Amino acid sequence: MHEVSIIMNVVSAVEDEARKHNATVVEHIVLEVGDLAGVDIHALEFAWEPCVKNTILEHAARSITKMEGWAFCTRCRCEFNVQTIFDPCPLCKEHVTRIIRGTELKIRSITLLN
Amino acid sequence: MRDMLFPKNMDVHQAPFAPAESNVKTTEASSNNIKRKHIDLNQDILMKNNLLAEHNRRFFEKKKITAFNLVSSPGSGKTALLEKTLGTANIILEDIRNRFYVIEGDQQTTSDAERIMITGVPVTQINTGKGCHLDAQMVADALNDLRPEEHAILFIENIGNLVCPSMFDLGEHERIVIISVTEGEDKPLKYPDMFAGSQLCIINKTDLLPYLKFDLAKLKANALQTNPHLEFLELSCSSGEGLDQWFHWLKAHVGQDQLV
Repeated sequence: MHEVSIIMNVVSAVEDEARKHNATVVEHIVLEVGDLAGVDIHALEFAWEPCVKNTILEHAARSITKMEGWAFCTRCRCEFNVQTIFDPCPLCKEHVTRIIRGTELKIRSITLLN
Repeated sequence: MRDMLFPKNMDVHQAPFAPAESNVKTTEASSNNIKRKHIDLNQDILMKNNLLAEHNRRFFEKKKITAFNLVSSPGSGKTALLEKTLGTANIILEDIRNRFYVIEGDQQTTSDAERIMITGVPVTQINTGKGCHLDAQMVADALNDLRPEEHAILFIENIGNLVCPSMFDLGEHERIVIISVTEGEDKPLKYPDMFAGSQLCIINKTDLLPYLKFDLAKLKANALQTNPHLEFLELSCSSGEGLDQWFHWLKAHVGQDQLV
């Protein structure tokens, strides 16, 4: 599953950043995962420990912030909460919408120890 | 000996279009001889892949190469479509046939690459092992093997999977999703990211329509919900029905400067 690939990308990015600061330990990592990012948080949590074993993230505490999906209707000029990328506008019921939030897949912050 | 086109494990921070460092906020604190550094990275997890994809994209621009990323479930007909497109029996594309190149992606085996080799078109196979998608580094490595010439028309056949490949930009110009009529009209709603991220949807195996309760209009309506700009082509690789329209679409999307 691609959640494994996602975690390996996180490990790689954190290793790069830690190297820049001469750090060898990560105390805490905060991730942001949007509801519309195509990543299942449960699958990510499930895969996390086996994937970060023997890496710089092995003992790091982690926080995963879930970001809600929001869309903008180009006809009604309103913003509304969405569960999928194809939810129609609740006012005009049309699919003339643009996703404005909820596709985030980010490393928000890390806390390094020297 | 020619230099490598793409360095292996390229340090993306050295890329000319890497993100600026100035938006990284760092705060430090010390206690008991332990220095604690908090860094507000705010970094896209897929930044490395996205930068490599841009690197691929710029390579394609420089060499005037048009690249297509073919995605679908396993068995929808990606390889069959390529066989029909690249084969010597195809008169419509005869004048651009010598510019075709293929990158094949599968977990295991070289059987798809072997099918393409029969057409005489240069091909390289990527085997991902347990991997469920191609990524930009894999494509960059494959380009180092394939060494496509200027004005090449490159087909990248992704791993058969309607989920994971949608997340990984390869640097392609167009993403083409292939769905066969045996798969169900609700597929675009079940796998919206793949259809949302594609420019063309090819509906394959139309020769089977008389034997199925398949609603073509419903499939298209569902797909348009996820992507109102999606184009459609209906064809059958086995009967040949509709292939001409695909060949003409291809010719139109290669670009005028490619038709030398």
